[in-house]
Amino acid sequence: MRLIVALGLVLAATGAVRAADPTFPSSAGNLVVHTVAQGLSHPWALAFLPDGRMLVTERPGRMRIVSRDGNLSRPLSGVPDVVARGQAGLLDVALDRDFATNRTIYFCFNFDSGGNAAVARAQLASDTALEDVKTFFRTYYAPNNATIAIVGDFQRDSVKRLVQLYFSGIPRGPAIPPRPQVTSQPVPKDTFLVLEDKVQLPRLYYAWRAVKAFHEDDAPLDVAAYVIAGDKNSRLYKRLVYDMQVAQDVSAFNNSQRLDGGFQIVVTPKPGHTPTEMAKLVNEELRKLTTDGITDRELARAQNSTRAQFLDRLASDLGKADQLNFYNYFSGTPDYARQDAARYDKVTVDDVKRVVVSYLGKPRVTLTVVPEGKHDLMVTGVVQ
Amino acid sequence: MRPRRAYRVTRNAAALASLAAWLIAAACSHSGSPPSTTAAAPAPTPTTAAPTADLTKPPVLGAPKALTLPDVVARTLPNGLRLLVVEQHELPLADFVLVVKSGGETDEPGKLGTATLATSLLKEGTTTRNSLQIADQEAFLGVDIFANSGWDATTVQLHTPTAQLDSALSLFADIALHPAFPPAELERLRKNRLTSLLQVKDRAPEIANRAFAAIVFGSAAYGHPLTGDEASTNAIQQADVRRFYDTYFRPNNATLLVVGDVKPDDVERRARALFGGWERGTVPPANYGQPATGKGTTIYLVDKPGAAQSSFRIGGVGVSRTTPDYFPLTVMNTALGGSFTSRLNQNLRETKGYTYGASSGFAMRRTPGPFIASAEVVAAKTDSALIEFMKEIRAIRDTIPRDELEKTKRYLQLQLPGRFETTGGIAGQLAGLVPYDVPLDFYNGYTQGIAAVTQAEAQRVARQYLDPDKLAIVIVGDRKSIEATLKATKVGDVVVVDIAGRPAM
Repeated sequence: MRLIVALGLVLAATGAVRAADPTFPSSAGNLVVHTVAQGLSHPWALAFLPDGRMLVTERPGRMRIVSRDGNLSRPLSGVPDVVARGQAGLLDVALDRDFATNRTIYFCFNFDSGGNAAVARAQLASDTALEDVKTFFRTYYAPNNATIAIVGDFQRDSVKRLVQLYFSGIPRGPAIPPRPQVTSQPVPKDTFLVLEDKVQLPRLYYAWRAVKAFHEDDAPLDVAAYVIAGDKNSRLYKRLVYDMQVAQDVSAFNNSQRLDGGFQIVVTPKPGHTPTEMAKLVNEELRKLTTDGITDRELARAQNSTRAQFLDRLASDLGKADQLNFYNYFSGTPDYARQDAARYDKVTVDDVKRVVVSYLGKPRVTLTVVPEGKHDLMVTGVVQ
Repeated sequence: MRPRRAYRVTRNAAALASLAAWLIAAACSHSGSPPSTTAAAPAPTPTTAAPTADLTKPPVLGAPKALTLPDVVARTLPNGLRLLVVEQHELPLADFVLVVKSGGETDEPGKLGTATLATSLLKEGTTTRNSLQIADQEAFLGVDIFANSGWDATTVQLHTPTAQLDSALSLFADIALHPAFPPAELERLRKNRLTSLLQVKDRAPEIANRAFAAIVFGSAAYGHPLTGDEASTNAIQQADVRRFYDTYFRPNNATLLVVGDVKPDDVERRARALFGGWERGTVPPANYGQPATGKGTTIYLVDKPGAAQSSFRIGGVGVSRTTPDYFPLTVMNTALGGSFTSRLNQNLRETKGYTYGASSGFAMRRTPGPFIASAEVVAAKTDSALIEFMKEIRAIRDTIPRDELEKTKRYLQLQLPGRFETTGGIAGQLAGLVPYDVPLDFYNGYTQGIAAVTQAEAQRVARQYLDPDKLAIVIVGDRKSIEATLKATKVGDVVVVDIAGRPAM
């Protein structure tokens, strides 16, 4: 019975109705039975996984995952031996309410001929199967989704011949699935996390949603990261590490990627100092940036150091090849390095102040990593 | 993939060159729009169908191309400072490396870590600049200055665009020649170092390095950690760091190595102006001591409760940098654990999956440095990994088949040019020769030196320098879960020690 009810739910979800499907009247209206999967032996119970697939028990003692389009997995390993006779066997299955995080399931089964039943708790192992890896490989690791940059001491024509010889025979892969579209949303509300680890010192992580690479605010955010923690005179390093000596290290990153980006500040307090103290100092310095902005000298240090890094990235052949590939992938223009460098020269002190306000002024994720047993070191509020 | 046509390559090369030119022109200014220098694109050449290769068969390699390394111009200033200049004009960059031929081996008992602390303090204040001013100028000029003490040498290195060479060099020379060792900065670095020493306890690989050095070298040089321990860090006074500097930072104990977009005569003129007044001194020879002769193979276990991985350091005393067996040892070790396809990595990583990487190496120093085979191994396979390590160390003494020897030699020969690609790369290679007085044309003979290694020689050095019955085996891991299984391997006695290699309960 359960199975039929469950199939009714599938029907509602997919809405696919075929003319040949049998129909039964009921007090709730007509039920149309639509076959989703075939080939199961005494299917007994079903639980929907968060991704829409179904965990199905077969009474003889097998558990399988049924895909949304009805394909059966091989029987899952780890299911205990059951005694299957009459109505006995592997019976009901249910997901833990926190399945998405703990992957815990419950099921019941008969384990002796006396009709005794047991309830079992188990974890559904991550099911990244070899087949998934192969599918990823076949789909994405293909010449129609790849670029080669070749830089070095060679004759151009001879390399073209070698590329032709070794790469042209690799078959094209399937069409690349459309990329996900990501709309960058700030963190909706301040969020506080704690992680225990085998460490001597706690560490404070702040993370904000920021922008994708080459967004107009990307370069100002890079400069902001430099001014916050990029050198010895930067705001956090000078105050926390150099002057007060309450932190062992500080860092700030603007991590802009192709689809989206994030901004992070990380502080390790020295022994005897707490993450909450660090939070207070970081917030004080961020507030100064939002009210007073940065100085011309700070901007010049950031820009001049950045410019020198552009030159260094061209020093080796691998560096040159990486640059060509990076720009081709991110901007569609392999020789975009000059335009990229120019972005940093255009940044003004006002730009930096503006991005600090508009991104670092938003809610953030606060993670405190604490030594084992030291949960009390967790930062639990927006410390001002 | 967008169609990639030949003309793009031309455009990109030109654009990169013009980017470099523009970066120099615009260095340290905030105005000016980039000049438009993109080369006109020649017409694309038509592509014709060409044969494709059988990808199941590796290509046949020809003989390695002869490598012509850039000339080194050597001069000596009247005060004894040796000047080495290598011209490298591709980019407007230069590296200036002051190599002082003394390092952590000069540390005195009770004051271990003095050399590295003194060197770290060079950037923390001169007679005319304080720490923050030094850092401000470094960032404003877009230069990097590093100061490090290792074994046998201390280096102060400037990496700079040549556009602001005057300002960069005056900062560099000030740091190298006029340190003030301000007491407040010493205290700050001391506190910093004590915190780092606390954090070392989180890192099994670092614990293993420290225990291994202490066990193999004892109180001889190379036996203590370069950054000292808690007690020595607390004991070092300003007079100690100043004594290290005043004793060893002397022009007659130093070489200034310059690589980049420079001319030897101009470099000499600048070196005379900046370093000409540096006074000679009497530099005492370091006392390297003599490590105790190794006992029978022993497993030294350092407990790190709950560790998910076990850190392995297996080895003993190896050879000095001036060993006549440099080439056969390099080839033999590369086959054992010096490349991705080496035996140790193939076995422990690729075949068994015990580790992300296993390797080995001879650290060749002024007196014999260590041979170490190492890996970070999943805890449950600690005993199995030890058995495989021992198997490989024994097996390399038997023979290296001809094909394997040829592959190894080719790998070493073909990777050589890549070490000389950048100004920093060239400087690094030469800086590695200077402390040991190895002739500067060493790398010109490298390809032939490797080529000359025979199977018989590789086997001889394996037997001579790898003795499976005299190995120090340091393993840092969860004693509770690995001690019994390690004993069961019967590879050697199991002794429980602490981070300094001292017996522990």
